[in-house]
Amino acid sequence: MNAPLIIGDELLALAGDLPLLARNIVDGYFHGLHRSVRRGSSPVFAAHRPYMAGDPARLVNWRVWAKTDQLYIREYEQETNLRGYLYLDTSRSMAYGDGVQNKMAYARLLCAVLALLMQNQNDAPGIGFVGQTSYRDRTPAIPPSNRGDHLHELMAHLARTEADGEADDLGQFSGLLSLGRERALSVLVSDGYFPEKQGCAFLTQLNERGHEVLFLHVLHRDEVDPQFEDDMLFVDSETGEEIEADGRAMRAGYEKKFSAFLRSIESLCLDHETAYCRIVTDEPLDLAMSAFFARRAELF
Amino acid sequence: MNFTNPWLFAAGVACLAIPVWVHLQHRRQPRRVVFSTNRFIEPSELSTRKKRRIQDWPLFLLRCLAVLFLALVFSKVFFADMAATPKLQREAIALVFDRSASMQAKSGDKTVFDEAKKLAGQALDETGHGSQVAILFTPTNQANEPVRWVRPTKAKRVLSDATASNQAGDLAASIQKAAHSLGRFGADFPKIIHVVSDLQLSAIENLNQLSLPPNVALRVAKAGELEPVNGGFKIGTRGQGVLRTGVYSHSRPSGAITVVDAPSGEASDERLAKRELDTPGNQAALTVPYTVGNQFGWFSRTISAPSEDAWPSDDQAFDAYYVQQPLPVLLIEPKSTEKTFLRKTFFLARALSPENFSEDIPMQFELQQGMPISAAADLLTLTKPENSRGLVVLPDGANLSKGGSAALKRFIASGGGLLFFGGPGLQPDQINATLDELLPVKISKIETLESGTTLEAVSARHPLWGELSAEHRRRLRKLPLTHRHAVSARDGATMLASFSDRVPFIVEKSHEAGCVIFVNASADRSWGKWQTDGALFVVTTHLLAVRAACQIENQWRNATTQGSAGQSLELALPTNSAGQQFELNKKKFAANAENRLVVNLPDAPGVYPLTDSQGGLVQLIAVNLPPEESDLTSEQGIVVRRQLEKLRQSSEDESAAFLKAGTESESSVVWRTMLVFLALLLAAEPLISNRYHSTVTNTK
Repeated sequence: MNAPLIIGDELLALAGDLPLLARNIVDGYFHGLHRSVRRGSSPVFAAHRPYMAGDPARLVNWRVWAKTDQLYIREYEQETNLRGYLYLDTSRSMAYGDGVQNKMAYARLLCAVLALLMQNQNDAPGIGFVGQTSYRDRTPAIPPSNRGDHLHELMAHLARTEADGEADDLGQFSGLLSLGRERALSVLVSDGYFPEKQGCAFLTQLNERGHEVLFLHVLHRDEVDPQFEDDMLFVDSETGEEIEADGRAMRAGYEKKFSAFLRSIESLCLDHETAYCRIVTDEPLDLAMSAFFARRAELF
Repeated sequence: MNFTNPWLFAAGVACLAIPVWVHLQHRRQPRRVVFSTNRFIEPSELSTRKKRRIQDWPLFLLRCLAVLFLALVFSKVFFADMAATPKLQREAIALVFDRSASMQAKSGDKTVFDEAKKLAGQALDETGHGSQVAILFTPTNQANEPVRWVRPTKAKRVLSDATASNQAGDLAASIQKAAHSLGRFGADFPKIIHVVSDLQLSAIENLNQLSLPPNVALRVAKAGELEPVNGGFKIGTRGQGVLRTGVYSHSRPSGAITVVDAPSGEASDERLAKRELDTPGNQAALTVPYTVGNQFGWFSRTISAPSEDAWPSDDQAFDAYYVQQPLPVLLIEPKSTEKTFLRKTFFLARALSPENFSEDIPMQFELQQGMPISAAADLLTLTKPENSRGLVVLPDGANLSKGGSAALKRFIASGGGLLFFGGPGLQPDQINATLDELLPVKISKIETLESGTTLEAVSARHPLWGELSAEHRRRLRKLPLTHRHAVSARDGATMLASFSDRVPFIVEKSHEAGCVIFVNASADRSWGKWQTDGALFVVTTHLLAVRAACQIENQWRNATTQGSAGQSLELALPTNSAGQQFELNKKKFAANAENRLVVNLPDAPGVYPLTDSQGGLVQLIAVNLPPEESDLTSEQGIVVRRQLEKLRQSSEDESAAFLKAGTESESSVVWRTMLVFLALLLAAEPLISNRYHSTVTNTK
């Protein structure tokens, strides 16, 4: 793995062209790495290796044996039928943060990068937007596909997505999930401010469908370590509730409650065999991408 | 450290509570943040809801100082010993203050003089501390008194110590003197002549000829009260071919005073315009013409007659302050009758009635009819507490009871007078028994007068009739009487008039403070027809009534010389008086070689004896108020209150002067306005600060 990827303002300025941005990030991430680690029966030639006992005789390259009198096995890149489901939380709590560190912008870019990664791995990326009570003005989900223009369509939807969810939870997510049992990787990108029961239901349904689940927990630095100094009037982005508090005096209580919240999220993921990766928006994307690959590797 | 407006300073200090309140009570608005979720946030008390922490004390002290400083500025704090006094509203004010005798007139509960001092004090309060003030009293305390320019605070002390004079003032001369003295100040010094006076006719007559420099403003403050019928006086400014006048008048019957502007010159009530008079820019001079009263006359006032004041018979207008109190007269009618002309007191009542008011002897009588039986009660109500004078007229036949006689004796002993007439009804034995020692004569039988009986010759020095004309005195001798009493004068009695055979006709005798006069004739026509002779009976009755009732006034009648208070008087003395010492009011004077004596009359009105070196009475001198102060007629019912009128000239030069002064004043205003703005800014600082911080942090 090369140097960490840093998302700067110049990249965010290109956020309107998510495919290009995601491709730059992915190209940078894979610079110097092998493109594939698995060998299979696809028509795409991968490499030759010496024959070893037990190898099927049909894989021997007889032309090479005729010239060199040595047995070599032809290897081909393996084609997969993995379906990748990205679930992006569009609730209003995701709108917190300024500029680069805005959670929604960060999550949106993260989804774009993951979609591109899936595409490059011959996976079929799809995306679903959770946190909505209705989807009248928005496409609720884009099913996974390997079509050539699929990624472009997915990126276009992703670019138009804002953290304006009407629900203060995961919303009506049942319709977004696939019906059949299939090998799939589901990635939930959220700040985790949904009710635990609903999160449990969401993960349970994914487990029941046989999905490998990765929870990318996107948080802002102010949420992890609030540093407010003045007297503050906190307005809940989802409920509108207002709370007056002294910025300094609130820290101790906040830290205590937030730690409990993180533990509950981790416990939830552990109970549902979900990989958990916490990302703060002032950190690079590498962590999330590494977690994605680690989780994907478990499928094979 | 002093304060021109100490109450304003106290109010300013009280305003210190404002920043205290702001710091203790004001709550800063918290910073608003739309946060992801509030589930981890516990409400806590904001720091600004608590008491101010120590780091806010500098701001608090700054605010307090600002308020305190403002209070000091607006209360006009000044340090008396400071050399550099702030030149705020610097002016040169020549205060011409009238303290003439007429200022002693009463105006409500106070005198006009007190009111004038109050007006002048207000004018001094309004001027700046850097101003120069000169008080020119008129009349002056001393001859050729120099004009002294002092600070307003000292001028107020001088003013508070001033007392009214009994002499006449000369406003015109004082104003001219003030204008001359104002010449010492430069063009950058606004110059004002402030006249505070009752503006009596005699005091401002000469103002017709008064001209003032163009850069001198004139303010006139009228003290005292106006009479409803007063026509007002006129103030005019005369420029080059332009005359503008304003009339200081009032409209009846409301009494409201207005000033009219008549551009064409003569003002009239129909052309009311405005109070301030605009003058053309090329103003050359300021003229104050004076027309006063018109057909209504000028001011009048009522004032109680001081005990030492008096009424000089030969000069009614000599003392404006003397207001005649009607002399209460009790006419005791011996017997009642329905026919008025048959009454014993019929002719007496006619003689003493207001219709027979004599120009020579202007004494008003307040007649009261009584009966002998009720004499005691009538005498109790005859006189008023403030005036013990009174007269009882007792014609023949009015035989008093013991109680009535005792009351009459007490009345006379307390200063009352008794005019006692003989007649056929008089019972000598009873009268002698009841009144006895009161009577100046011992009365006996009735005698019949021979035809042609006359009185003794009456000379010009006669104590009773001497001031009458010679023709009048000659007519007195033809006395149309038929009878008389045979009387003999008692000890101590003074025979004022007698028959040609030396039998007393009018005899006077004093009893303690009172006086009894007996007239040896009947009051009705039973002994002749002398009552029908107006020249004899009316005049004589007047004189006798005044003589019997007014002992003090009689002193004036005996005075042979009169003069004005505080003035010099030259007296002609008999020959061989040269070099002799005379004393008047504890001051000694020496006669010159021409047998003339120049004396300085006392400052207070009264009758003063001039005595020689041995204490012998040379003559009585009546000292009155100056005639200039008495050219008024006494009127009752003063209803119009005083008004203050200002007249400011606005010539080019003066405009420049006032412009410069105005620059200082305006800069002062700007400075103060800035201070006010600063104070408001400091007081509103929490609000502004909160508004700045309360900008919604939209974190989208």
